[in-house]
Amino acid sequence: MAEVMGKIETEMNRGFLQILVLMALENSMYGYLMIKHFNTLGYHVEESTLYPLLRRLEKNGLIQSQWSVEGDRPKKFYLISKEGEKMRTKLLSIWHRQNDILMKINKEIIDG
Amino acid sequence: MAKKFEKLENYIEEIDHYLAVDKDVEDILTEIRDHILEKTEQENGKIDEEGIGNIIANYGSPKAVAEKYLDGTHIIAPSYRKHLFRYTKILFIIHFSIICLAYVFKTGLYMFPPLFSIPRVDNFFELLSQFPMTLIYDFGLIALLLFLISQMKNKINLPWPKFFTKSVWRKKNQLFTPVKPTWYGLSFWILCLTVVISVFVHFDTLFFYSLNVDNPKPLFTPMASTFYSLIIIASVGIELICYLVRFFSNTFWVDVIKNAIFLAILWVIINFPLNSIFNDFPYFDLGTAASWVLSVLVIIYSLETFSFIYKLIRNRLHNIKNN
Repeated sequence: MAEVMGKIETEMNRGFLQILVLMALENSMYGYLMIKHFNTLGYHVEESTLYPLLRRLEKNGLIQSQWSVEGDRPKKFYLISKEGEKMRTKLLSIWHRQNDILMKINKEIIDG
Repeated sequence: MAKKFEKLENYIEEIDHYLAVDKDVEDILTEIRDHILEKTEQENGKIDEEGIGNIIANYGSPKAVAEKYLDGTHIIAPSYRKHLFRYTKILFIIHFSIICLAYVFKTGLYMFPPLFSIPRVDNFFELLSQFPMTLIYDFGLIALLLFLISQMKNKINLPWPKFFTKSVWRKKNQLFTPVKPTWYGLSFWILCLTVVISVFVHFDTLFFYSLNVDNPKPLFTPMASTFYSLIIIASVGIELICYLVRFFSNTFWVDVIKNAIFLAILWVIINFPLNSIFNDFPYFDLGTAASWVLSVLVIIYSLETFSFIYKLIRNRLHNIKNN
């Protein structure tokens, strides 16, 4: 059962993480900073999940990146693009609609 | 220049081995390296090999990390898995049959160079060794073909041979089902036919009572040797053909017809004067022994034929009842 729960949770997180990243990248951030920021919000994401996602979003033109050297280490900063902003608006609208449906079904269950 | 840490560099190098992406490899590896260094510094206050080791342990295995960057690309599309094995089986049967022919005729065959260059096979052990080599070769050839097709952007519909499929040779709703044919069984009969033909070509007979290959002692007179050897070769050939037919249509009718042919062959043999066909055999009277053996075979095949007919009738009645 725990294994099944893990798989379902992973599927749910996949879509949620994409919206979360697009919202967080309203301000320029690099990967490690993003993970720390999500942790403070109570959401834990594996770095091995986040970085491939960032690469896919960039490949699809939803975010853009730029290398910057801080101290003696290069860091890749990401920022949402114009296309990403449009996509974010659409995804948020979908998320709100799905949330409303879930709330309605939940109310039906509670009311019997 | 930043200091290099051995554990980190080894880890990054291993990820690189599995990272099957077309571009940005260096970017990906630099990003991972930078993340591990920063996380080590933040969580341990300093960057050292031990700290890096702890962070790497939680990061994930290099293979798992690299796989997340694959974006759904595959060497061979997963949906081609069944095609891989089906095409290999078909190609192997054809290829190995050609090798057996080359063995029988003691020659090399060059049918589609460089794909099927079949060297001359001189003895049985060499022939046996060709079995796994041929399978591996054919599997590799089909895998290469499917790899090339998987990389193509255009979608290709691969043909799916409907014969040799389980749905043909296994009918539903039957009380009795015939033995399922297998590729190994087919290979076995091909090998048997190859062996009997080769022995016959080499010694002009299949029947000896001495294992001395340099001085084989034939069991029968020359004319009988040829006659009965050809009957055995024909029988093995019939077994092979019937087995092959099973892949297309596996019913008890195949067994009934096969047994009817064997009973006809036995009838021919029994009507041949048995006492005049044997050479001198020092141990017992071969004519009497042969009569007994043939009688037993007739009984066995007859009983088997009746059992197949019985199963056919029962299956038919069962289908009528359920429909």
